[in-house]
Amino acid sequence: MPPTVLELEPSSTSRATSGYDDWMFATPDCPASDYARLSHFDLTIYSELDRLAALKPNWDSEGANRVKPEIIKAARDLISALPRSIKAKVKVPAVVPMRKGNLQFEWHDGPKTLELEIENPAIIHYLKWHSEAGIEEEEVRLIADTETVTGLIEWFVQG
Amino acid sequence: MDQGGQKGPPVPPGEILYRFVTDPSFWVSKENRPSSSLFDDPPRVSVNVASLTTVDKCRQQLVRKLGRPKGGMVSFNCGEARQLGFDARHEPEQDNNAHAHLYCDQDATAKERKKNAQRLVRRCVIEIQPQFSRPLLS
Repeated sequence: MPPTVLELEPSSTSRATSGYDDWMFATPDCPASDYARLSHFDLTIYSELDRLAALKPNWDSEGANRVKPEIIKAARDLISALPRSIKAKVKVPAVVPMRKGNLQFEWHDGPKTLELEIENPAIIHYLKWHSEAGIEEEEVRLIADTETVTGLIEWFVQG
Repeated sequence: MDQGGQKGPPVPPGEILYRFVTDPSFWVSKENRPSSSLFDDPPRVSVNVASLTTVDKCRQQLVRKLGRPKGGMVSFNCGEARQLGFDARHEPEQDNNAHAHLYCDQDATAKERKKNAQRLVRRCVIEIQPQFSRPLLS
């Protein structure tokens, strides 16, 4: 039996023209493409977000709500939007579910704490705290304000 | 998260209050202290009034009622918590006369809520050391 010969146009199999890279590296819903490009920082946090998404109501045995899916998505988008340079500098935060269905990222270093709570899909509520330096700053910002979030993380790294 | 209706009587300021740490999320392992998320939880969280119970009874409650044998418990002064905007009300449960609710300050602005929770966790004393095996990051 003779082998089957596929007669394909070169353009349909060439990596440059086939659209493979568009699919592999740019399709936002493709987990394979996502994970291929992610840093340790991203992967660890996304894994934690997956864990939080799977929590059932009453996960704390004291009546906590499950973490809202829209909060998980907003948290994922926020992490995704952070510059690679800052992700390379800062340690991975604790990803903490909250009983009301929100979550927050927490960095701790002795007297210094940074909390970024995803209060709703559009709003971030942060606490910048350094007891020895007398810093107690709490504010609310749009989650799209990546510059402010990056600045807060820079403060934690350098402050 | 039943939010209840009428509040019970205020817990006297000299009382010590116990708060369970039921989940590793509420514990900063590397610093061996609670996270502010243990208290940053409007409208209220459950506590026990120390003078109406014992640490041993609380330990049993943690294990038998809540099913959290690796959980822990911290204590703090009721009056100090009130100064930080938290209001403790004695609201017994059917099987626990020591039960109270610690109400978060609903009027706290968006610039105070997290600070108050952070101030309170920094005043907490460990009564039952949590034994969580999965340390969280940071």
